[in-house]
Amino acid sequence: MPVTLVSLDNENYVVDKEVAERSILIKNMLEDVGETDSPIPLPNVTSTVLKKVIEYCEHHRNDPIQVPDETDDPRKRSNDIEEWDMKFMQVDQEMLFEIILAANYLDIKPLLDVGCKTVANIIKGKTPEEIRKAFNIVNDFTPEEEAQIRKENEWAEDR
Amino acid sequence: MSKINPLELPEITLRVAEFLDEKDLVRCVSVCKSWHQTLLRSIWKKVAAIDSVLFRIPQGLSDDSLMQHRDLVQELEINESFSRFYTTTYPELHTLTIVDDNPNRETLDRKAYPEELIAFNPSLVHLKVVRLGRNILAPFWTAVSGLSYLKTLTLQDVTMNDTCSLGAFWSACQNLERLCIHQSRISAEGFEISGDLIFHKIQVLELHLPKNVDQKKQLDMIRRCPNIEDLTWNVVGDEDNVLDLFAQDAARELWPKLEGLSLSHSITDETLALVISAIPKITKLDMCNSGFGPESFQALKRHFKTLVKLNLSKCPATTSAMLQEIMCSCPRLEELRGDCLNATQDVVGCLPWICVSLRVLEVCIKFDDHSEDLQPAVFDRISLLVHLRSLAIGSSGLWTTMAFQQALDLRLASGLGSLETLKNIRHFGFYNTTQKFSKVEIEWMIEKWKKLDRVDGIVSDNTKHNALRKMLKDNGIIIS
Repeated sequence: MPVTLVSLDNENYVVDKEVAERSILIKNMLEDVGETDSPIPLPNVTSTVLKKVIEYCEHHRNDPIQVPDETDDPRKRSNDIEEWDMKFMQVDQEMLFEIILAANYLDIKPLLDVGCKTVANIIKGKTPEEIRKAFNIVNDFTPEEEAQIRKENEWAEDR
Repeated sequence: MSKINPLELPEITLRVAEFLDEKDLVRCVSVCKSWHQTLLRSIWKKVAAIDSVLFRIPQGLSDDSLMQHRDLVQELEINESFSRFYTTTYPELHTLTIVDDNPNRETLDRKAYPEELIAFNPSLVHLKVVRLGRNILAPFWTAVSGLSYLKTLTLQDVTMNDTCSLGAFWSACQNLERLCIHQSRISAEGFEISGDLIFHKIQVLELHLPKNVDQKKQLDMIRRCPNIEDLTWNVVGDEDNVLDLFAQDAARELWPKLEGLSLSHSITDETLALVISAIPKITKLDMCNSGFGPESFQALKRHFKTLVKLNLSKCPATTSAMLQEIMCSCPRLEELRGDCLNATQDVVGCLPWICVSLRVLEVCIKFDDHSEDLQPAVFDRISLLVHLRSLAIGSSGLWTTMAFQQALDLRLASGLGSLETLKNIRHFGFYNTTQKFSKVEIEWMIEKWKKLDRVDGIVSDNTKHNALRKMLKDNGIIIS
């Protein structure tokens, strides 16, 4: 059964239920209201982003549902993003951020992970100054504070 | 509407941090105040303060900064050189490992005793004690009995001799859910547990005690754990037929919740069969190095539907047919370790493997001479086990007979390509087999198995081995 999703700017998107249910938020909503034809408003997502998110969900419609796994060490080989996802994430930073926010709001964990991995890959190997530059972050430390923080924490580098 | 920057949301920043290593994390905390606030916890969550004559880890950890960040520390590993921190409360601390192997309680620069560290941190949940003194004294165990949230206690390489400490020790164990005693020397008298002490809460018990501790007394300890779910018991020798007694107790349903059992070597097939039939339901069975054979196998059949983990490696009396039957009959099996699976007779022409939830498969797969044409069929079977994380088709170190037999040929030309379905593979082993990998196989593994991080075995003959090894290493894959 198809489901209609409505973006912030009032665009309607008709998608298969199994595609929409990649979003845990939508899945729970559908479970709460039962069978319904009424469109689902998503007031936090613009049409450009929603289109992109639907594209992701369509491609991953048949993926097994992720089970959290405590034995997984996430700090390993973080750059392992699937080829398709990698291409999918080749967007400008504004879009990358929008996708992350939408994935967080719609509760699509695999998409959120891909977004966060992409950010992590940008951070890797960069100095604090390069990280700030990459994400337009303002340095609100004084040079003394920054040096102090570095000194206090550097022991953890080769833990 | 003003745009939200996701990197200013702590929940997102934390999730990004999960994919960063320590070096990058340390850089991130000095990026800006909000990241500092969010990520500092990840850095200080786990601290190892271990100092010896030879080394100090970690380098650069200063006393001042440890004190300043002590309320972020959740897991602490500490030894006596840091005894100056023993009289400190770490408010979030739940896991503590104390290594304090000074034979004498008095040393020149000792600032405090381990029991003080315990008393200062009443919220401890997990405690591990490694080489604590030559003899853990009663005050230490008295302090431990005061920990009302303590669930797990692990002793490693600990000596306990005097009856006084042991009395305090057993009462400290009363609230535990998990007790593990490894390689520790406890005097024979000490294992005498006084009176009507019952450990109602213990669910997991691991006993690896030396020979001098009377096995009947060990059994007495196990009897005092009526709610045990998982038992690891290293019975050395079994001189008193203590396992027969254990089987009788199990048959009387002394441990109605017992589902996981690991009994190490020197157990006969007959005794093992008794034990296996006595337990109502088994989900985990580790019989590595034991006499597991035809009788135990018959007894095990009753548990096929519930088995989740099974280890039958280094059991000379197990057969290929047994392993094959297990794989065709245990739908919930997630881990299987065993010795030899003979592809020619058993694997190819029979029922399908229904153990599709397998995550770990470690069995030597061998072929008779001139049966190379069966290899693709074996690959096809393995390719259906899509949840596999660890696949080892060779034999472990001491079990070298395999080297003379034909193993699975892991070249693309023989059918390796069908294992493309195993997306979760992290470990791939082919120890003691002769392989003739070339560049294409290594490239294929790196490309298809994104999660692969460890390979065991010799990938090719000498001339190529080093170059291929380097390829794996360059891609972050450990090879041993």
